[in-house]
Amino acid sequence: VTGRSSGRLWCWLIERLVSTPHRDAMIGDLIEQSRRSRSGMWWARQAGAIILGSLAREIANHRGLVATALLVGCATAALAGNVTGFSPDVATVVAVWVVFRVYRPIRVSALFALVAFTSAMRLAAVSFVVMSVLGHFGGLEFLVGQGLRHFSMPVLLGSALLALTARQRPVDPSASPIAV
Amino acid sequence: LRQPVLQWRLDLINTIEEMAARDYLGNFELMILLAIMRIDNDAYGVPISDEIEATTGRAVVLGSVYAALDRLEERGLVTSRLGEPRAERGGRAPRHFRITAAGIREVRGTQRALTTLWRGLPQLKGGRA
Repeated sequence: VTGRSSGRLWCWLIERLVSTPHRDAMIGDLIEQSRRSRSGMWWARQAGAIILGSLAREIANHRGLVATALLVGCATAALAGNVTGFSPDVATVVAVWVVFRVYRPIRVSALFALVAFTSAMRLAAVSFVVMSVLGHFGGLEFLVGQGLRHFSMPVLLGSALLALTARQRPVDPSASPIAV
Repeated sequence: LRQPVLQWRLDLINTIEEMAARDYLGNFELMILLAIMRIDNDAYGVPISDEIEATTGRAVVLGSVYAALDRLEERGLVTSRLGEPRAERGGRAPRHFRITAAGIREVRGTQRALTTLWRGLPQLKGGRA
């Protein structure tokens, strides 16, 4: 992969995964710097740092909201699976869509957290610890447990990736992180 | 001789107490503020990272420069404004940064603190490690 073509790919990814107010200025800076014959590795290092840094900051700044996104995702999957009687594939798509819509300004971190949480809960040790902690909060253990039963991992990954391909606008720092 | 030594120790203790009480600038943040001051009017991501690369000899990741600039802007130590879009930047505008009066005060305070800490260290005399 040449530096120029990988540059285009990385710019495309930054436009979709980063929502900081300086995003477009950062892409412009990368394009300007890349004129000094930069390699594909240089692009990967620079863009990877921008994407991971933005994701880490977003999760750190909105810890509470990201946690509620997990609960909303699990509750939606539980409702869609148990009450409406949807199959796990459809219940997963509905849950991802609801999280994507409600948490649109922080959708990258919300969806990343949902995928990471659901994957981690497939491990018995992690599941045991999390469920033990949730057991102290009344119905949360039941809600999360029911939600996790209705998540289909391949569909979750596919629909989360699909949701992330929509270009997002740089976020105004003064705006609310919840879509209204 | 004892009086200046005592005074220097008191200065050092005051500096350390002040550093603990205040949210001091990190090494990288200080470098960025100094780079902005050196570049003056045209300070945006590329010249700032070039300046740091040229002075430190280390490659700089643009993402860390912007993360530090975000923190500095939140603390009111720099301000930014969007420039004109340029063709060589894929039609994107650079964001120009300028140090504020509070930023200059912060740099001065850090300089004072570091100078006090450096003063009289035998390991740093003669330019050898």
